[in-house]
Amino acid sequence: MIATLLILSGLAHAHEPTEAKPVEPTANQEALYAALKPRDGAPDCESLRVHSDDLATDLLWLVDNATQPPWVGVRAAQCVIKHHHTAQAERIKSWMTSPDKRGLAILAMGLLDELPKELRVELSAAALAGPLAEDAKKYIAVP
Amino acid sequence: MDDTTNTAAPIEAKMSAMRIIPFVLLATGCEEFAGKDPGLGYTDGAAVTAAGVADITVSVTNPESAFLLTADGDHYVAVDQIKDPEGRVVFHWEDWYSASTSLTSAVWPLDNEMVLNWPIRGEEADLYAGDWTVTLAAIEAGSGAYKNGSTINYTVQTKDDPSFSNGTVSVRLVYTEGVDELTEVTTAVDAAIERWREIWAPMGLTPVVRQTSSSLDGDLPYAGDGSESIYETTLDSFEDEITLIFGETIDGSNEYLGVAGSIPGTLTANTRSAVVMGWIANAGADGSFSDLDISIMGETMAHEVGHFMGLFHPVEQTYDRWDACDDTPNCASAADCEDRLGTNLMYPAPVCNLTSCVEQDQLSDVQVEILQRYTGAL
Repeated sequence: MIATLLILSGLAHAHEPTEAKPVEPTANQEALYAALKPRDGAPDCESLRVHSDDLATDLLWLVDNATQPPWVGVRAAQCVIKHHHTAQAERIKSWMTSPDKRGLAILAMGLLDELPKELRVELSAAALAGPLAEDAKKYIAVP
Repeated sequence: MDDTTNTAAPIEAKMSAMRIIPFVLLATGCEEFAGKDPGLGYTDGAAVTAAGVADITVSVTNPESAFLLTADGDHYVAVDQIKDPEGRVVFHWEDWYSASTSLTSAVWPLDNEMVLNWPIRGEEADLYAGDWTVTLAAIEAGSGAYKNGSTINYTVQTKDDPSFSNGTVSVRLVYTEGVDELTEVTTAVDAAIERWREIWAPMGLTPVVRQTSSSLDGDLPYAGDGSESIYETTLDSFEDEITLIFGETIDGSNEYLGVAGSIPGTLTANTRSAVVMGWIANAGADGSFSDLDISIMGETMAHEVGHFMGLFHPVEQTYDRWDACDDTPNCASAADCEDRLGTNLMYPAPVCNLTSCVEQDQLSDVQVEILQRYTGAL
């Protein structure tokens, strides 16, 4: 009876557009996590490639799942912003308007000068029009 | 105010900048810091190398128990040897230069600036009254050749405190421009300082933190590379204060949470005389400080100031270099080191499982000996 209910429960949720998050990190994600953990400095983003053949995806997994130590997600996001901004533009843009990603939004605001002009303008506009506008006014020069 | 300024003006060399501060504070209404007795002796001078080296005489009187020698030369400077008043060599560079264990960065010619605290561990003989001789080498960058006729300016601060069982460490925390107005950050820093106090309490050490504001840019320099802004900022610190600059980021990024200028660092102003920390990386992806974030930030403060007071990581991340403490194990793999050293304050990385971390608040007896012998632990 219990098994039947579980199956039905699973079917009922099968088509819901929820993102399935892996509970455990893959070996690559674990290696990236270990590389980004040290207190006194992390390896540069390019050198992280040895740990993953899909680096942006694994870094984003850390952004979403590694909350401690607090700098791991920030460092992972920094690599995404600096080196994967074209492919991950929408993801970065979502941080600019998400209060629960305020740290990443402030991070991105500080890195705007390193991004292509079109993306810079798009991210700035999103931040200034969203719930993190007060932060955006501090970090983004408004002409 | 004119009178007090004029009175202070003739005081010479680097000391003038540091010791003029009490007079200035009197004039600006900060009387509570006036008359502060740092408990430190001070001398300075210059020496010129012959045969590539120059001898610095450090005159020790009772009850002085440690000295901090800060040098700034025409060439790279490193300590060659130290002799006690009887002429016995108590430290020689060859014992440490290529060793797999690290005792002091003063042995490596890394820059024109060099800092040496002596004694370092309990294993080194205690200071006693008399003339100690520190031989410094002037070394050409690149070639490694010893240089003759090279001028080395130096300062010596001596610790007038015989106790190695307890001490107060004065810290001047300097917020960069605007960070002092971020209430969530300053509140978290205050709580982190409490955590830092808790960590040090069992070791008999108490950080006393004086908080100040500044117009420094929030993106801080990498302190290990040296910076004029660090020099200028630390000129305003008292001569017994470690300067901790708290900004947003370090070197334009979040690769660093905190950086100590050198191991050990100096209480005299130079381009590395500070610990720098950035708040953004410490707050995490959500940009707000949870209780665990604050606890870890307090550990990071204690960790970085620990470097500044002379502590190395008990094991480096390459697992083939260790500190010179014989009571921290020389482990050789991530798993083994996390198991044996994971709770040590100076372990290079927190031990975490994505969402929580173990507390890193332990220090070995020898690590505590090093902290207590730092000249700024009074």
